[in-house]
Amino acid sequence: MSLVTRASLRYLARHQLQCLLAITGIALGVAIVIGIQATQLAARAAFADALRGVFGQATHFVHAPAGSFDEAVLRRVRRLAPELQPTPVVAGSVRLPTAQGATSLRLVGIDPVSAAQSGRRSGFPIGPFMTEPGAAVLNQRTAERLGLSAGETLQLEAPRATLRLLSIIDGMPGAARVADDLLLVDIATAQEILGNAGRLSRIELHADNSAGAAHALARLVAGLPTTLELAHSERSTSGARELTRAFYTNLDALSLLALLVGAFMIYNTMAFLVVQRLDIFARLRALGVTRQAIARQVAGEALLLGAIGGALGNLLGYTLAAQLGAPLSQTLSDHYFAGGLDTTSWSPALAAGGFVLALSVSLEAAVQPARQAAALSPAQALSHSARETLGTQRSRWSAVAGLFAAVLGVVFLAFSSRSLLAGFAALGAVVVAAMLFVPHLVAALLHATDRLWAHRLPLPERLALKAGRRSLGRIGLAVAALMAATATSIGVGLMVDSFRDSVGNWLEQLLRADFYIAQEGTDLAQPLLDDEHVRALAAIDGVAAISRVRRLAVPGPRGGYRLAAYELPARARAGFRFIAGDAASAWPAWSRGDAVLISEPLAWHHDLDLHDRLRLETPTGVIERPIAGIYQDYGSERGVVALSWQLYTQRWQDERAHGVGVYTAAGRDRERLRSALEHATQTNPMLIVWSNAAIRERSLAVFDRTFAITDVLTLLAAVIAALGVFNALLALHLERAREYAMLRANGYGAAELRRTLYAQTLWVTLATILCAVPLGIGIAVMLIEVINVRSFGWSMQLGWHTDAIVVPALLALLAALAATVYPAERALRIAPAAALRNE
Amino acid sequence: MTIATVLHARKLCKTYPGGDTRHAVIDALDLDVAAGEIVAVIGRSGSGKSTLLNLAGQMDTPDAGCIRCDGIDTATWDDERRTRFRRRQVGFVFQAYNLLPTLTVRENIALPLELNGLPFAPRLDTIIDALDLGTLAARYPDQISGGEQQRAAIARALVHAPPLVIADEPTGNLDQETACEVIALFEHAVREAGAALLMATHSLEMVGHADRVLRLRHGRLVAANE
Repeated sequence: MSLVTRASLRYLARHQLQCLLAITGIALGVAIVIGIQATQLAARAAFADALRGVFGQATHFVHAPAGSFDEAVLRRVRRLAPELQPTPVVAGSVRLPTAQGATSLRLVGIDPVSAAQSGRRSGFPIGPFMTEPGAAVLNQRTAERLGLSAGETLQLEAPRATLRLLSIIDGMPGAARVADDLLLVDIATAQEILGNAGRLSRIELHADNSAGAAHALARLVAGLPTTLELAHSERSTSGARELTRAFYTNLDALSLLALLVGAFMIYNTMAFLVVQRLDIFARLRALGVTRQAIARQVAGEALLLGAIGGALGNLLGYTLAAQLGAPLSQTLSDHYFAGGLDTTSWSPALAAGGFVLALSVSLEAAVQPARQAAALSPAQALSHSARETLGTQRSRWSAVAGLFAAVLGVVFLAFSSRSLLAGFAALGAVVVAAMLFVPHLVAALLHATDRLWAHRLPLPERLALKAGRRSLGRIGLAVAALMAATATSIGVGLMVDSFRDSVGNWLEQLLRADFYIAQEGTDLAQPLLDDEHVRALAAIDGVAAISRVRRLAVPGPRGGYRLAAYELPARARAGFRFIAGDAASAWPAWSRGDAVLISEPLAWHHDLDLHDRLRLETPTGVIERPIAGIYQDYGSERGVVALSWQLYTQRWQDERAHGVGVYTAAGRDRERLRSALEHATQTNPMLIVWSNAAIRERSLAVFDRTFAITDVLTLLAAVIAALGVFNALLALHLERAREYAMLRANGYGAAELRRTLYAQTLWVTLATILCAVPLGIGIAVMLIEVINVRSFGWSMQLGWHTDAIVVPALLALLAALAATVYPAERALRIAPAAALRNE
Repeated sequence: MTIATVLHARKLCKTYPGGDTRHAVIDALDLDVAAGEIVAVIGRSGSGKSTLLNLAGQMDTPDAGCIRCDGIDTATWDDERRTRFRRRQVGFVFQAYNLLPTLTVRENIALPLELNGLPFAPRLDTIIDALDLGTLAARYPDQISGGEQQRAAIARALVHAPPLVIADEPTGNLDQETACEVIALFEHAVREAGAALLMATHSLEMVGHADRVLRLRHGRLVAANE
């Protein structure tokens, strides 16, 4: 090993704390990306699982866009295309109470006999599965997660039903593949629990590439009733994938933001390791070591630290993924599908990506200052002003790059109106621009404070003000990372709080009825509330009025339309907040069936506007209706077409509903009415009576769970930023040890010096927070006006929430002061005499 | 017999920014240093002694004028060529020693040999013995005194037998007694090696050991008695 390499490695060994911080910075940066990406991969796998057939990959399936269909269709399909091995499936979701709270599971009913006829093995005893009432099968991992063992009774919370865990199976080759969080039951049991007696959700088909299979599919298309569709698995899932795309994009954006902070942290740490050794490099240069040799040496160090950080980051990333898996799984269950996340599957591509990230950022961070250092002549580099020169050079470049990033952000916004990626790119560019500008702004603020107030301040605080301003060349990157983390926290917090307000207000306005009778299971399951049942409910003593809703889906562009057919009394209509259109003229046209209303997300995703005509396929033929109004709706990110009950019954010739709203007559006892409603629905376990307040509470609980993951990610970004501040201050105070020793030698007391060091952090952090607050508000505005609109089509008002600003600001201040403790105390421990020695 | 010139500088200029104008530290300066000659440069603080030494040692480049080393004009040299020149032809001794803190005394002294691809034996041990560093060879710079560090720096400057040694206030950080010891050792080692020495100093002791003393005034060199 050459003496130059030996000197370099010994330097790292002597500065273990800084190396540890560099490795920690790299590891945390990589961990966040790996953690989120591993969680996303798991979520995507679970999603694919949820869509896949139980017995292997179904290539096609028969389904009814309107919901379930009569099981008699199965006989017809078998007759038309027996070679496609038709397998009936009934699917829905159920809730199972556990010690950690209720969890959503997918309930899938299969016919093991038809599966066996198709040559598939079940992997569990078919006899008891079919004959024992409520027999259910779970996979090993789900059983372990829920703490269940074979033979246990499962008391479902909604729909209310009792199952018995017959068997726990663990992926046998060629046998039924039971996905995570999937309760497999006999088809009859599923029909009974989900209230779908005599109905099927889909018929799975398995077509190979043969001409025979193609003919069979053609026969099937020709022979199917018009209410049914033959769908290709890939194409049919694309609509659902579209649905979750915005969710994943948002997560990606958060992980990129954390990565940005992580990259700054890595850059910061690596750059310090280089800048601190400028004099050593200068000595080597004086002795005849070439620039290239120094750059190679620094690159080698960066690769070494990057490799260690990358390896640790991979390990930490999967630990983080395991932590993020639970809240994400819950969010996905709340909004998209029931399915557990397996975050433990190691992906070589992801691990390699993490490594490349660690190595490339470390290399870039280290080599750039090393190049700058090498570019100085040895004489310049040996002078004490050289480091300051480098700091100035870097800050000039950062100002230019910041300006460029800001312009880029404006361009992204100006030249895109719908692209979510462009929206995120604009947001990213604005944050990067702010990060590059912030050291200059903080310096300007401290300069202004110095000029205005310095003469009124005691010496320690005055010195701190000047030292803080001078230190920005050194700690500028850490300040930028802290500012970004604080601003992000403020921005996301303001957006979430404003969003929650909007959802709360919307629920307040929308939920006009006192009670809602809702049907559990999939929302497009067989509707249970027939006209007679609804009339009986309306006739209960104390009921002033009722509303009802029927949900269905019809084919159309971009995965089709979701419809909601409403019967609405006048006071329910007041719950609809129009964004476009005039309620006074829209409601009469809607009531007559001459027009439809659409929700805001539908208008966004399908690019529809007021008075556009919507073409809908109905069982009695295609109809076309103008859009009379667009209303605010946070209930579905895909959007809904609202039809009048009259139009629905006339065109679908069906009067069954999925839900009923009940309005209490004036002066009547609500609790008594609730008992009466529960009594009237107790014969059907699928029907649950909810109070207005309970629905609101449940909806907001789902909302809070959805955004829990953003809290975790912004907190992680803040931890990384605080670590960056710690590292920067440690380097700064070590570098200034001689200066502090001079002060001490001239009679400046340890207590005064301590005050100066803490006050320096205080000044810089306060100035940083002053910059972070407007940026945070800007981020909130962009999230609300650009990202949310482009992701989901939801509009909302930015609300003023002092705590969303004050809490992150206080946390930043506390984190920075906490990060000062060790570096300051360490600096104070250095004896002035030792610090004043040359070597 | 003609004595070879190791350094030949003509009309050297070096300016630094000072307010709105540039301040000339070295102004049309001429200098010749012959092989084996010890030249002391004296002058007030800020007179440009260190700048002159940096230019002579190819640590910095002049704004105008030429420096010839071994008869070759260095004006066209790029950084790599200047680096190679420093590595092979120059030994530096600084006031602040500038040893590498993470190498032992022995490793610090061996560094120029390694950079030049020269064998360590027997030069390394010879110079360590000559400067009486044997017992300190395994220590790190922060474990030895200032005088000992400067002896190590002198050994490092001479170990690869450069024709030119440049020393910037080599005894500036030492007490008088240690400075005298170091000066004697330094002169002996330089003369033994047959190298030329160009040094900037304030020390009368050092000046006493020089073959020629030059004063730097208004950016130009004049004889010490002028």
